[in-house]
Amino acid sequence: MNIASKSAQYLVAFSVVLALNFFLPRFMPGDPLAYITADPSADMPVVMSEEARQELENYYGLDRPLVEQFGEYVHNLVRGDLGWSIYFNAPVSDVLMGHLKWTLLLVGTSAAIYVALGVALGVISAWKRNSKTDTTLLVSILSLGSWPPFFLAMLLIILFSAKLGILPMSGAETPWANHSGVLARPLDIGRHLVLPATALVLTHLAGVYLLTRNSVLGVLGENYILAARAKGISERDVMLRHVLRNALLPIVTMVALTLGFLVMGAIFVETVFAYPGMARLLYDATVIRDYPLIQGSLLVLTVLVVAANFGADMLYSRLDPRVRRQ
Amino acid sequence: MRQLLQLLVRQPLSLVGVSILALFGLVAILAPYVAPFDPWERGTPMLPPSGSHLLGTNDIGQDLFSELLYGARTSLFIAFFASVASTAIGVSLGLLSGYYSRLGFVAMRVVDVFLLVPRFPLIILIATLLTPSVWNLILIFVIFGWPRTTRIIRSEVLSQRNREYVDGVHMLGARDPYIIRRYVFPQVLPLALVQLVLEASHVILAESGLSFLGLGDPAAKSWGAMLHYAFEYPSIFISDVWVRWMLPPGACITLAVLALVFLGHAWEEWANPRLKQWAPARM
Amino acid sequence: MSCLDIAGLRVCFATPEGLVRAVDGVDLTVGDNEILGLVGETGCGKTVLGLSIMRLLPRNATMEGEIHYNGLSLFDLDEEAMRNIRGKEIAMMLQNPSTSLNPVMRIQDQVTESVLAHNKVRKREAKARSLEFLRFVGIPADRVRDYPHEFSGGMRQRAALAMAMACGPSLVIADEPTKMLDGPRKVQILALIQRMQQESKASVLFITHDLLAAFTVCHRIAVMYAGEIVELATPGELSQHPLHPYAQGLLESVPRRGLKPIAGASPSLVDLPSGCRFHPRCPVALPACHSSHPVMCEAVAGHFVRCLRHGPSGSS
Repeated sequence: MNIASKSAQYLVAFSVVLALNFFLPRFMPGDPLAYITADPSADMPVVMSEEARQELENYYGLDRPLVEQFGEYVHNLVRGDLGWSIYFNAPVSDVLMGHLKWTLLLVGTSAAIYVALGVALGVISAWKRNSKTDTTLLVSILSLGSWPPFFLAMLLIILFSAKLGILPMSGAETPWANHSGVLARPLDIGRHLVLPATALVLTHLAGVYLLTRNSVLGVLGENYILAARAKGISERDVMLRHVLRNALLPIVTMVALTLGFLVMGAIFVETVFAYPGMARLLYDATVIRDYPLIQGSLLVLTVLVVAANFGADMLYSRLDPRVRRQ
Repeated sequence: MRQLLQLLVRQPLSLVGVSILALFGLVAILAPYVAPFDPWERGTPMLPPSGSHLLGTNDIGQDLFSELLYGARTSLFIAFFASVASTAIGVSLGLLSGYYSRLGFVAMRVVDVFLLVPRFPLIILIATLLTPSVWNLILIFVIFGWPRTTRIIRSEVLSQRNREYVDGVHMLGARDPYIIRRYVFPQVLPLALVQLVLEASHVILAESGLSFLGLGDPAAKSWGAMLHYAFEYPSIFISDVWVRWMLPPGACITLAVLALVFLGHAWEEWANPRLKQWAPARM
Repeated sequence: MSCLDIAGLRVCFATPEGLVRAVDGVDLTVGDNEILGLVGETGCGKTVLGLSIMRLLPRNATMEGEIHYNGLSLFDLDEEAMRNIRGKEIAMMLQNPSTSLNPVMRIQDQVTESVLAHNKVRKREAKARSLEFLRFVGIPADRVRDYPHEFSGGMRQRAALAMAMACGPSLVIADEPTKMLDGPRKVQILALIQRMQQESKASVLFITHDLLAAFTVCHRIAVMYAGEIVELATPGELSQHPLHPYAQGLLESVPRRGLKPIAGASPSLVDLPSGCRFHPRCPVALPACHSSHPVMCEAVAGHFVRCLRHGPSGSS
């Protein structure tokens, strides 16, 4: 599949998400504004005057035909206007910006660690297939990956924060702290990052580990590895130049595949640790039924993952000579 | 088939997985008879473990042990139906789209979009919008579960289709449905079973996750929901309540997923045999 | 002392279906400066034979017997010593170069790698040498930096030959070098192998199922069936006076002689027939062939055959 069709595919995916994001709430039963009025059927009724409600309706254009509303929605998106958060009483884009950096920090750090670790362990496992090392690694990593992230997160808090008291229980940094020196703040942020990142790394290690192990095993069985050995090359060189170069190539796209799960994990971990990231924002918004915020954060999260996948695909086609020269 | 049953009990991973699942399955079926209390019945809140309440009670006085037993029902029920349904759809669609290329092309475009978009945020959105119920949850998981299986089955069908024996039978006059049923499907079955098991593991994690977030069926007892209420309890981290309230449901989720993952992995090695690793031969 | 001396080689594989006897008692000698053909149908054990010389068999294989290379016993070497032999003293061209070339490495780099593995030279020198070999096999300089998928089947086969030659081995094992090729390219690679052998004076073990190809380049031909050598002769002798019924069958199955197939199917290497392994398919089998296992004997000078019609039997 060449670049043009791949780009088209991504464009389609993006449009689908956009459309779903917009149309789903409007097709579901219930009045979207019910919860922000004094309607008793709402979870958290906010008392509002009739004029205010009318103003909101006009703002959301709920009385206009759907297609027009969608057009307006897309038009606003392009201008960077993601709507108005009811709960925060601020533009959605502002709210998102404040939270995005924390998610990026958490997800980025965790991804870097579990990818490096998962690849290394996967290669070792495949190299020593069926040995004690391999079996031990396999069983322990698979077991770790079976843990629900929220459960593991809670256990980590109990052990390290409550019992041992060496790491903070929640948040991204100590609130209203007065940091002295240049390093104090990053250190503080780092301390708050340890437990959430650990939870994410441990539960997502299995994905990359298995993918790597399978990839290396697949390559080890190939004819060109036998041919390389027939040349009398040292095992180390066989491994580095022939096995890894082929086996690790698809890792790029494979890692992108795990990003979807990572977002899911982030939602749980951020919730448990009260980490002010965007994944948790999505959830909080869901609870309050703050529709613009739900849609905004959903959109940004999805776009980020899709964009990462796209980037990985493009990177892969640069790296694999079979695809590059087409 | 015989191979599969042999594998089931001989391979240690598979054995562990099957045993755990059998245990949970038994619990799920027998829960109404074995549970000491009705888990919805409220009583004295926050009772410590005792003879009658093995794990004590939660913050509204419901027996935790009974909740745990009934939780098995919910989680296994949802996982079973959702994975069977999405695998069934995936296999059917995979077989057909592997065989009929035009259908295959369209189907693969749709699958690509599904697989590209991160499903959990969308699942949360839809879960919010629908009335929370067990069947709606199953529906959601099926909607998001069928694409992966379809793609895997289809690629296997494509590789099978080009085998000589298919051509041979075709030339002898066999028609497509016959070929699919008799030759292609049995080859595809092992893969489908592996996908079924793996999908079930995803569903259990996703369902417990949704319940943890409060988006599950409030009428059904679920392990995730137990954790939800545990988490909301103010001093959950400081007191020792977590041992009896948090640990059991969390451990159950982990064990159930673990069982399925082990099973899936063991079967995958069987369905997809990889060549033996080279090593100097014995003299 | 000849280049390669195989004595009593037995190779078995432990498989779920049983013990596969791929090579069952092979005695073979490849002389210096000689191209020895090893002809047989697919599954008769020829490739396994080649791999066992290189000691590149998988873990579930057991080898018995002796293989001497220029007097050196290969089975007595440790792995590191064997590695020094591979590529440098004995080189192997694997079957199907479409899969035996590293897809993400440039062709030139793969040849250079061979050179560097066994010679302490600078990279530039190694590159220059690899260009030489590639030029010898007819791959132009402007194509050497291509990747395998950009090469045609014929070019890949030639690249594989260049890789095998790169360290100047004394023995080259060529496994089915003409298999994937059509007429003109077959001729081309055969000519190359011949030229290579004449210039380097190396010995070649030419493994193939194509009898005609073997006739073209080999100095002697060994016919293999069900894990054993059943006939050994020069091409002239073999084509005019084939002694073993299997060899006779092979010759008659060639298009020029009428495309007559040999009746029956090759035996399973797990469940071999008793006595002479060919007797179930043999058109001239004697009653004794069912129970007596024939040994190789010299029927005519330089012409060996394993058949009760031409010599005594071994065990019954």
